[in-house]
Amino acid sequence: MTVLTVDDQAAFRGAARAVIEATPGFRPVGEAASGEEALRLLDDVAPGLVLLDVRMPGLDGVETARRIVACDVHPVVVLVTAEDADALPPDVSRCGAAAVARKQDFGRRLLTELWAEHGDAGR
Amino acid sequence: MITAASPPAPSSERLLMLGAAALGLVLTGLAVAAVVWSGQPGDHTVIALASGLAVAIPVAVGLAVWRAGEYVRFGKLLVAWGLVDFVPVLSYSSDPTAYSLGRIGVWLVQPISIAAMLAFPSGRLRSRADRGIVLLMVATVTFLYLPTALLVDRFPEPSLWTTCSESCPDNAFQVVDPEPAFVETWIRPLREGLTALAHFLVVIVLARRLRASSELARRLVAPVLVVAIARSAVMAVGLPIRDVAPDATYVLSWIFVLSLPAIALAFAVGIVRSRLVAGDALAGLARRLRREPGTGDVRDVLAETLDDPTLEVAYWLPDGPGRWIDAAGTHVRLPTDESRSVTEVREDGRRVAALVHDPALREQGSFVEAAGAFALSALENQRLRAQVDASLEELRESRTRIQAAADGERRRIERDLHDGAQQRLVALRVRLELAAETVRDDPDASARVLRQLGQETEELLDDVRSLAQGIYPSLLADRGLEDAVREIARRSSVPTRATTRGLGRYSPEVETAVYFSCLEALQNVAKHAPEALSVWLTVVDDGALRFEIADDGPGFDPDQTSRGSGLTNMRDRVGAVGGELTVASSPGAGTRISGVLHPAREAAASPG
Repeated sequence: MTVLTVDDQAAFRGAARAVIEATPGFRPVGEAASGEEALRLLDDVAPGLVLLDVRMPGLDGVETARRIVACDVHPVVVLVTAEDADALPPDVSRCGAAAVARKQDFGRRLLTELWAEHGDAGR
Repeated sequence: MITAASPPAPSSERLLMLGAAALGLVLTGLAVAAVVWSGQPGDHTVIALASGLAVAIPVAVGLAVWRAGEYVRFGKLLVAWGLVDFVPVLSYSSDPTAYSLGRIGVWLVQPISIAAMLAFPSGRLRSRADRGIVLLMVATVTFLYLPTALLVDRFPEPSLWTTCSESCPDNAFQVVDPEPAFVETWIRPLREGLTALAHFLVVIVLARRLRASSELARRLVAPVLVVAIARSAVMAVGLPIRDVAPDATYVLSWIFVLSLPAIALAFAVGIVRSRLVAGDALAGLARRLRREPGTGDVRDVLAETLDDPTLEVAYWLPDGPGRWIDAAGTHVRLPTDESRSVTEVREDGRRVAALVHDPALREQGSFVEAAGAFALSALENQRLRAQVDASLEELRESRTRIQAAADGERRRIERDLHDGAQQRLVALRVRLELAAETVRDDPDASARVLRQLGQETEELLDDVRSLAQGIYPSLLADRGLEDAVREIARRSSVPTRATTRGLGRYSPEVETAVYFSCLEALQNVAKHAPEALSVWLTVVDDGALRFEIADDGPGFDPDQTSRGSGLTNMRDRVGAVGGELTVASSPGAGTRISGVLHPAREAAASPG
């Protein structure tokens, strides 16, 4: 499965790429440092899954998720964040994202589970 | 310093006055003589008396005013008008030369009289309309009246100035014979139309001025303006009707001849009246200030006394270069345009307050000054109150700025933590988990990854350390000001020579105030004066804790240039611990920022 990682922090993009590369059945197809860049990349790389950071300058994760899922055919969007659940904006659950995951829990198992639950099989 | 009520006129001015008085006496005598021995039939007593007074009264009133030192310019104008007024008297003469001179003199009086009436009471033509009307009259006399003295065989009759009517002498100055027809058909109607127009405009301007003047000003100006308006109205209608109604001309001529002494007398009456009113007003002011000292606003009392509801009072705050504040302590600017007038109130040359008032009061300058002097102690009290309010206001503002700076600093730290340490720790956590999962499949690769993560942890530590350093430098906390300021001088991008002497340990507030002021000043040098060759950083304790940052950069004008929030930050920081910051700079002379604090020394911390 192809994965696009969107985060203004290079550190997490790098870590996510290492995890995706090391997970059987998953392949990184692109990285974006902002919501705007992600929306531009979307048509070219056509990912199956988008990992989207909630807190970014400019277009934040929630708004980017809303715009991605507004398309007829769209990838599964998973919001990721390093914040506590109570520090998140209240509309994370209403923006069309399939799930919200903590960045520090992100790993091969979480990636596989997320896909099993929300990916093609889960739909 | 002793200031006389009216400074004695310089000797040359006194000589001028004496000359004018003597000339006035001679011309008065000549005027009477010219009428008595005019050679005209009949009794001349009344006309001779009127002619003498037409010279004597304006000269006498003008001289009196001139000598009193107030309305000097208008006084001089009155004297000049009175002296010139002698010439038309000659037109009573039956001698052709004297008669002709007198008739030309009538023309010359017109521009002078109009200028004098419009310039009342300041003696200046203030508005463009005033100057326009005078110019119109001067041009009319120069081009349409004076040249005709060489052309006409007889001057127009009947005249406002003569009684000769049918038996008037011929023009003695005629050089062209016979008289060209265009003078009578074109020039005369044109110039009389223009003269009537000029006087009509004077009526309008003076009527407007009368309506616009304040109650107090009206007492001074009303008598003169009413007479001047009447005189101009007579001129405006008298010229056009003299051909159709010669009888009316006789009455009008009396009004006209007597109008100048009447204006002079009206002026004297106006001065006396306004003095009386001003005296009453000042007495009332003194009574009110004594009865209710310190209660209410002295502005209201003064506004009532000066009869100027628009009155504003500004108080002088003698800090630094000094500035004006209002009663609430807020900084104000004194108006510099014509729409308002400013009268400063001083005590022994020291500024206390400024009265910002209606320009109409400018003519009562000494009255406004007197009112200010009467209210001096009340103004001084109010000034002290305003000064306290101003420093409270300053304190509030600086407190707000310090709070805002602290909030901004907290936001910056939160962002630094979130974007830096937190994100790197999250990535570290993810990679460690990955390494743990893959260690069994490929131990060598995992070891490489783990070593790399160790390297990243090292960088993360540096991040956290520099962040903590920015919040509170450990060197300052551990070793005090001396080592900490030497360290920032060493790290500065512009070569900086540091001098420290006699420094001990102080409260953290004092140490951070000095440390961050020095840091900010050095950063300012790097930002605004990177071309500076040397910077001297000096921190000494000689009983007071002093610091100074001086550079040989291009400098700036502290009054003109705002150096962002840097200087304000420093001032606030130093001010918050009871110190004072001084900025000295000028273009081309470098910049010197110095501060002085009076902290208590703390017991030296044991080196740790």
